Amino acid sequence: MRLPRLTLSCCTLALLAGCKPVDDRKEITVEREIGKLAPKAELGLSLRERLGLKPVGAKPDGPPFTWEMPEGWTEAPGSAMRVANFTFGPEGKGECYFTVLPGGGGGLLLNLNRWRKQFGLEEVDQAAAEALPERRFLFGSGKAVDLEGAFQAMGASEAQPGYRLLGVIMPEVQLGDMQVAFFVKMTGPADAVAAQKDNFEAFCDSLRVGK
Amino acid sequence: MSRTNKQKSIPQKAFDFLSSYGLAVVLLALLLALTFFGTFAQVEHGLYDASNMYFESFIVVDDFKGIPLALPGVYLVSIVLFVNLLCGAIIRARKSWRRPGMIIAHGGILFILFSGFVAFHFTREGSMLLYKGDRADEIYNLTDWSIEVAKHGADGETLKTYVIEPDDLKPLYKKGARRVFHSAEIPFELELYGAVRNILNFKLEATGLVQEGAKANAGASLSGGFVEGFALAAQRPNKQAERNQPGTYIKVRRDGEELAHTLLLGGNGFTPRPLTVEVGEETWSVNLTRRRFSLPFGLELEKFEKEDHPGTQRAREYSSDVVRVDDGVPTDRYHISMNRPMRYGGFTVYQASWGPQNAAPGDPLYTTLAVAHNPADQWPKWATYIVAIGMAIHFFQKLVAYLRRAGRANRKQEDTP
Repeated sequence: MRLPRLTLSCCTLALLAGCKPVDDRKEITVEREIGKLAPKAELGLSLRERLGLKPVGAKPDGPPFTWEMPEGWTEAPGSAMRVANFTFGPEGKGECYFTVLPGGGGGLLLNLNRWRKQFGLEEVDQAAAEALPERRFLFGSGKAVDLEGAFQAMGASEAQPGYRLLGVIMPEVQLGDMQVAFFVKMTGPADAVAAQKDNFEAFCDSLRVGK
Repeated sequence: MSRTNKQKSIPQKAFDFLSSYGLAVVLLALLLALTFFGTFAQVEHGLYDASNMYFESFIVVDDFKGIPLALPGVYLVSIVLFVNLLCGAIIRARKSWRRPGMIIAHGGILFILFSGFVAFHFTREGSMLLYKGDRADEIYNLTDWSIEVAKHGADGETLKTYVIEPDDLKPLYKKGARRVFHSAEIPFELELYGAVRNILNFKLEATGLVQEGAKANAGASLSGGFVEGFALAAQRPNKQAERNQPGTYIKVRRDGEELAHTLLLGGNGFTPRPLTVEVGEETWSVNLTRRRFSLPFGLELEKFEKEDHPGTQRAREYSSDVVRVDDGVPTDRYHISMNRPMRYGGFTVYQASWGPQNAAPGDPLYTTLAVAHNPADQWPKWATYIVAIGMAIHFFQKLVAYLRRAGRANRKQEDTP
């Protein structure tokens, strides 16, 4: 009978130790030494600026682009790489974004295979990549991509079946002094993407460099 | 003549209990069970949460495949085991020159447990992210968040920084929790409420930052109301705790007057964008940031090299060449690679990672260095030596005793007619 008694004692002790009340007032007592090389804080910012958001509808800085947002799409906050960012479909599960990457973006084959990998598809060779259909895009032409399968987004732990991707890749473009790559990528449940295919084409056609 | 249990005083009974073999058996069995459940919990909760829940807590309350669990945590069990070993194997044990080995070996085990305690409470660790040419002398803990309240000078330079520690923020992630923080050194008080541990979805999009009127977030369960057009909604914490981004509502008050009522979102430490609070002539800032520590030296990245597996973008090997900077002056050079850390001034700097992970060929890369200051860094090694010495003495004595007995038995046989 000693062992159960001992176990019970341990557990009771643990329960008592685990009870820790929360005060509703707490004094700040810790002071931190500041690094001599620490980055300087940006002061006097509004909430939107602190959050890194631009006012809704504003176009991001950088090479100026214009576009027409299709009806039924919702503008989402942009990021350093997503110049235009939208959601669509039920629960906003579908997304479409226009990305500009510096330095050529790794080329057509690497990006095509990266997208194929996200859909659990086997990699293809350069010849297959070159054989993709061309479509008019911005001031030239890009390769049109259409994939279906189980989509695993970057950072996602599980693939989502029944997804489709429509995309355009325009790699290694000389824009002024810079070499850049342009991408439009639409992903979402296959039926939602199919319903938005015309809007996707219209959005791609509406993209322009310059205001 | 030994006394019966009824004749013993309460302290004697307590000592008997704490030094008993029975308690040792229970504690070791609990450690075994906690290791088992804690390992499986990593699948469900992720490494960070499972470690907190099972290995760093006084008590574990969890659900293991539908079975409710309530056990003492590894932290508590380790403390009781330390006391048990100290009382049973050191104080109570018969001390004799005939068996010093076992006492030394148990002393080594106590040292291991003590090392764990010191490392748990006094280790400072974090990461440093450097692009080529960058210098830094602060590290960021990737999983723990704090609020820094800083006073700034006329040019925006930081004069003093006060810290609300991660342990004081964690209780606020519970629904409905609210707490006021104050200090005689700070001319205002902060009320935090509606805090959420994570606002990012699994795609690392800020779906927990809800914009007023946005259709995409309609129906989200808000942790507070809309403030300046935005509200917070808790998202499921990511199993990789470093990917969580917290947020909280904050009210700044001075003598009952509300100076600010807004949101704070966890930001990166590299471009701090805090809430600014003007009080008279003074400028203060409030920032929800990863827990930061400053180092007594700086590091400058001279070169970062990454070698990929052939035909892929998967890194096979990566390393950083850094220069230590003391008081703004570059001094010694170090090459840090995956299994070759830099050691200086009690700090160990490891090559941890690199990024951006989605960088295209030719894009600039940064290096992530993990920095740790653990006063007990080498103690487990020494403790292992002590245990080994104790065991060697013990087995040597046993061997000598055996050989003597065997010799005597042989002589007896030889003497037998």
